[in-house]
Amino acid sequence: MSAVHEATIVHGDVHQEPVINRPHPPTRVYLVVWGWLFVLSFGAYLVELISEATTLALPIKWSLLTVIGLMKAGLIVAYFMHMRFERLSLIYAILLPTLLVIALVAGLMPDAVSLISFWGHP
Amino acid sequence: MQTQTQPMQESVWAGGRSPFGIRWGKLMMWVFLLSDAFTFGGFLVIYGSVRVITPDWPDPSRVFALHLFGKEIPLLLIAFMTFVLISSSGTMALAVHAGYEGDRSRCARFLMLTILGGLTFLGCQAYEWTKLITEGVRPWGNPWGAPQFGAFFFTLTGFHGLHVLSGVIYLSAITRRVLKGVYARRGSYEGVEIAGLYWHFVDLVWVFIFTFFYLF
Repeated sequence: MSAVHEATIVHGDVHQEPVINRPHPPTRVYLVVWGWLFVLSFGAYLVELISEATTLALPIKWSLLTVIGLMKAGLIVAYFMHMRFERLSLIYAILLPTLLVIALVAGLMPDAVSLISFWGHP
Repeated sequence: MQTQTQPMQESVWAGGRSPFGIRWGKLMMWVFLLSDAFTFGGFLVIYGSVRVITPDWPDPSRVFALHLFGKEIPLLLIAFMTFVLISSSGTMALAVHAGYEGDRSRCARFLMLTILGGLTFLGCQAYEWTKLITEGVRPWGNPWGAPQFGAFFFTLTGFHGLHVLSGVIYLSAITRRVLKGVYARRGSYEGVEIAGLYWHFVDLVWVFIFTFFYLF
């Protein structure tokens, strides 16, 4: 990361359009990430099929799927959207507010779950 | 003469500099995507909340099963749609990459493949909506259980599909400019990169809709 990072700061006159040959990872990196996205998606589908065939406990299924989803999201943002090669200030500016959304989920879910015990569930 | 080549010592926040190290167009796309993430985040939060407290939620793997070869295969169409969208994200990344290398025709080819992926996805979605509507799914009810199911299905996939449609139109305009040599003359394919951010974001949102709406 630091090599690309330094390059951006040293030639950091961003009012100039970036030249065509600015630092970027080789094609292989994109193909590897692409492959992993397929593997992970297939893994998620497999979890679904396994939970159909067996009686996989719901919390386990949900945790597995969430972890796989977050891994896919991380790969897309880091490599396809080049976040990994951006300056740290931009990374914080975009990712910190996103954490607030996760905090919102974490804050609302216990409330929803406590409502189940109040209303009852099937 | 030596003072000219002093490396940056001051804080990047001191003014007169771009603290994020990117040009305004790309920064604005990131800010837009952040706000869009909040929109979808809000949808998913309220969906999760309602899903947890609603008894008798229809089983998505039954609702979205396809009848093929005399067997019900769960979520087959959705798995295919996921495959198509991830592939189009991959070709988009390669288009941006071709742009970095200044390869105009390769960039345009990969952009067209991306558009094709987007159109395929939209076609599948049109089929899915038609199928469910003929089976009696409405925003206020469905034959299988909790009436809220339809409302969330149409809102979530509808908003996402609208993003895909906008993306296809956006990418078509960008492809036209690539072919006309606008970016080649400018010596920068940043426009392709910014469009790429949008397209990858659409894929990103689908990751969460796929996980939380279809698989859960």
